[in-house]
Amino acid sequence: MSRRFQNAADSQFSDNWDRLAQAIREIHRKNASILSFEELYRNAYNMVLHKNGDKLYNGVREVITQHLEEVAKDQVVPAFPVSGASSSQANSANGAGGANFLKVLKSVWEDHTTCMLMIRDILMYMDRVYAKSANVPLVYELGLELFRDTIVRSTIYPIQNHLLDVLLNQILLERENEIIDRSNIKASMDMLLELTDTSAKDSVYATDFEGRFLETSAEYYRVEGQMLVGECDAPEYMKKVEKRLNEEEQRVRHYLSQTTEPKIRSIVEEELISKHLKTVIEMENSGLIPMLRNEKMDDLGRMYKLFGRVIKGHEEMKTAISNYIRELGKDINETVSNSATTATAGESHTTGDRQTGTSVAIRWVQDVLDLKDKFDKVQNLALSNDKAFQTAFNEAFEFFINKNLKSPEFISLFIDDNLKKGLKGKTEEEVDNVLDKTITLFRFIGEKDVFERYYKQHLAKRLLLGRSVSDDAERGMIGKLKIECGYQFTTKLEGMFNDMRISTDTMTDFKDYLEKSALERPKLDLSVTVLTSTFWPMNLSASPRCNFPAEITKACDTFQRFYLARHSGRRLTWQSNMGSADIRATFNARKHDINVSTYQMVILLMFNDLPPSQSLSYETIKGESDIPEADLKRNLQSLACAKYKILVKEPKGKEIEPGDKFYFNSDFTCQLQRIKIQTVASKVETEGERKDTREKVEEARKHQTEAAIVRIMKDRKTMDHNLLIAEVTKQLQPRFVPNPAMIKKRIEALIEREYLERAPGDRRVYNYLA
Amino acid sequence: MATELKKVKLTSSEGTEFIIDRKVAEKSVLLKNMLEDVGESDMAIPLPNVTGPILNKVIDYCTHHRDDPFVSQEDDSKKVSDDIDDWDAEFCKVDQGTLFELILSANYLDIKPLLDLTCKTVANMIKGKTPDEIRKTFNITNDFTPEEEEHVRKENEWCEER
Repeated sequence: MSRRFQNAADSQFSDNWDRLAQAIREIHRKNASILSFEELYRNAYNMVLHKNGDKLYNGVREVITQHLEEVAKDQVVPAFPVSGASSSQANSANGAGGANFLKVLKSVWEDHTTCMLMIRDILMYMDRVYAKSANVPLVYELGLELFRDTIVRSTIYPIQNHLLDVLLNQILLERENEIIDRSNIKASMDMLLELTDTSAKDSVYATDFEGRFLETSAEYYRVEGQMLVGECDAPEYMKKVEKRLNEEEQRVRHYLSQTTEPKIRSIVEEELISKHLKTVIEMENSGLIPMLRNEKMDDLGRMYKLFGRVIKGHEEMKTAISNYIRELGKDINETVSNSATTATAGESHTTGDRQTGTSVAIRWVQDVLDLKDKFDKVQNLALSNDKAFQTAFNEAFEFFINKNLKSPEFISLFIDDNLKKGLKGKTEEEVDNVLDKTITLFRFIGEKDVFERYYKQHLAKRLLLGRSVSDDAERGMIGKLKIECGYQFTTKLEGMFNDMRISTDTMTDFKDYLEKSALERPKLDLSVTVLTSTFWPMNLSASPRCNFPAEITKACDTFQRFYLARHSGRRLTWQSNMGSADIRATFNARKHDINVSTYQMVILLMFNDLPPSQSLSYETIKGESDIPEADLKRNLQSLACAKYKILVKEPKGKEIEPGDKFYFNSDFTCQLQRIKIQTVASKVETEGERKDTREKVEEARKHQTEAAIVRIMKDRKTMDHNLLIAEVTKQLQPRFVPNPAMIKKRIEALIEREYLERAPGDRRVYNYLA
Repeated sequence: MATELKKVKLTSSEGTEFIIDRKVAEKSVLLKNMLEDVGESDMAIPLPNVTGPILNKVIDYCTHHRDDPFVSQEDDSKKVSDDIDDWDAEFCKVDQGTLFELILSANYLDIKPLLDLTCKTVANMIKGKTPDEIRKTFNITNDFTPEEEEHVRKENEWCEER
């Protein structure tokens, strides 16, 4: 192009530009109405068309920058709040100054954005054609950047410092319950959100404000947390924390960016909850333990919800509660051992001691059930049935229940007591309820086989002595045990039931037989229960000795003949230590019907032909009856030293010693016509008996372990030592928890007996020998 | 609904007045913004850049396409030039001068569909022609020296059909 043409184009550009620049200034002065949109648009269009887009763009930038610098100087700076308003002090006076500053900033921002919209419209052609190809921000964006750099981040005036200080101060005031103007703050936040930081690719809100906000908030709540734990008790503290959490949530909703919500929430949770978990839980008189003790469900529920927000929250609660349960469990266990030591040590045969033994057992179980109820309630009402907590509780219960080595026995006794008399008068539903609760305790027992042994013993006594209150309840219990442990656990129990039923039928047939046969009737009414020895827990094959009087022997023989005629190939053994007898005794005053054990019957019959003034010595009785010593002593005690003294002992005293003499007590009186002499009912075992039971259990476990090992090896043919131990443990778990050392011993025993061998190459691997 | 019935006055470079529906006018983004910014006014909008006949043609186009859905400005994906419908093709059967004026007006007034249409039309006029034929069609003088021409041809050898 020729120079002349060039100059003409330049001067045309200058004219056009001057007009545009002036127009922009008028817009800034809010005089837009005098301008012609079309003319300005055409100006810009022409400039871009003539390849002056860049000059236009830069010119626009300059005009806007100039304007903003004036605004900063003339409007923003004079509105600075009075110096001395440090943001860390909540001072209402400073608050007012700050609020005013925000107002000014808000109006400045609004003016700017309005102007920029108009400017953008007239420069649309430049945006469309020039900005895109030159890769520069569109005019509106340019406007934002200029505002950011000239005002908010001004390098000349400390506008940003003041802005941030004021904002943080306002928030501080609000946290201290002062009323502030939220719309002002919101406007500032919106402004900061709309401005972007180009390098961070995030809003100025995020880069300049949010970080400081979170920092100061953390500090604020750190101090607040420490203060509150000092001043408040646990429920109060939690309520205040809840309040703060709500406040912050509200704050975000009203004037901060939603992105800040999770950040500020986790700060509050960290400073007020995480850092003080233990302190709050352990607060004396109001912490977790007192809450549990006093069943403050609301407070517990609040704690559960609140502490659930932080990672360690529930962990701490669980540990604390678990320890508390173990403490309480320990106390319950200790009550037992204390009662045991107050009772006379060693083998005591007095019925009194045995009775306290039982009542201790029953109380133990009831205490544990009550404890379980209490925590079930807590679980339900306060902990929303949280499974993790349930597991922790169960573990704690398991722990202390198994610490008490007598727990299997105690639980069996509890059930025994209930099935004997406790359930009388209760509805079917109540019965079921009690039994269900007992089953939950049963689940906690590790040594289920020990329980089985006791249960069998107690059941046997109940059946034989006719002490069961309800057959349905008995069967119900067995049903539940079957569900828990499988049918193997309960076959023998059911066998015992069957024996009882069959015996009743047999007796009916026996009576018929006696009627029909021409045999001489026995002089006594005989009732026989036939027990299949494998089902019943007593050692039945060893028949305890006893010399029956002739009549009794004759009656027994009659029955035996009758029975063996029906069932050939069977052997009957009379168990004299288990029977009972009803005796009609004639005293001076009147006759009484006395229910006694078989042994006692034998003893009393000896006095039949004796003159009242004559006595029988201990040795005589022993010699004639041939009753084993321990049983003899016990039975004599029941007759002579207990509540109803059928016999009189010389010399007086509770213990039976050799040389004692016994007289029939013709002077005996009693209100009741029928009396029962307490026989051997289910009592807590003595130490000796316990040892016995334990040995039997250990013996049985050895066999079961070996059976399990063989079963597994037969299936797998070859197995590594550790895997075998694990597999055996798993299989035996429903009955008891085996000791790995014990399993190892059994493996070696089996190797010796050539059921297994060690693999030739690897000592840790076993092979099955067919 | 009221705005649809509203009329707008446009004045061409010679001063001719055209009265059109607001809806038709708003097919031009420039006019749309102007009307929004300036607000209710009976004053005519001057268009010194556009002559009467051209403005007439533009109004024709906008009226015919008044109900077309608004396509986003950013949609550059359709770079094909063979999807012109019959009416539009007929519309573009004008002399070159008019065609180029239409392009300039569509650009100025920011009517993207019209701009696309007219440019496609010109593109079709170029398509498939040799350089000489193109020069003939558009009356362009060849101001290459033979060396320059040879150089350019060599550079672009790869896209010549064998």
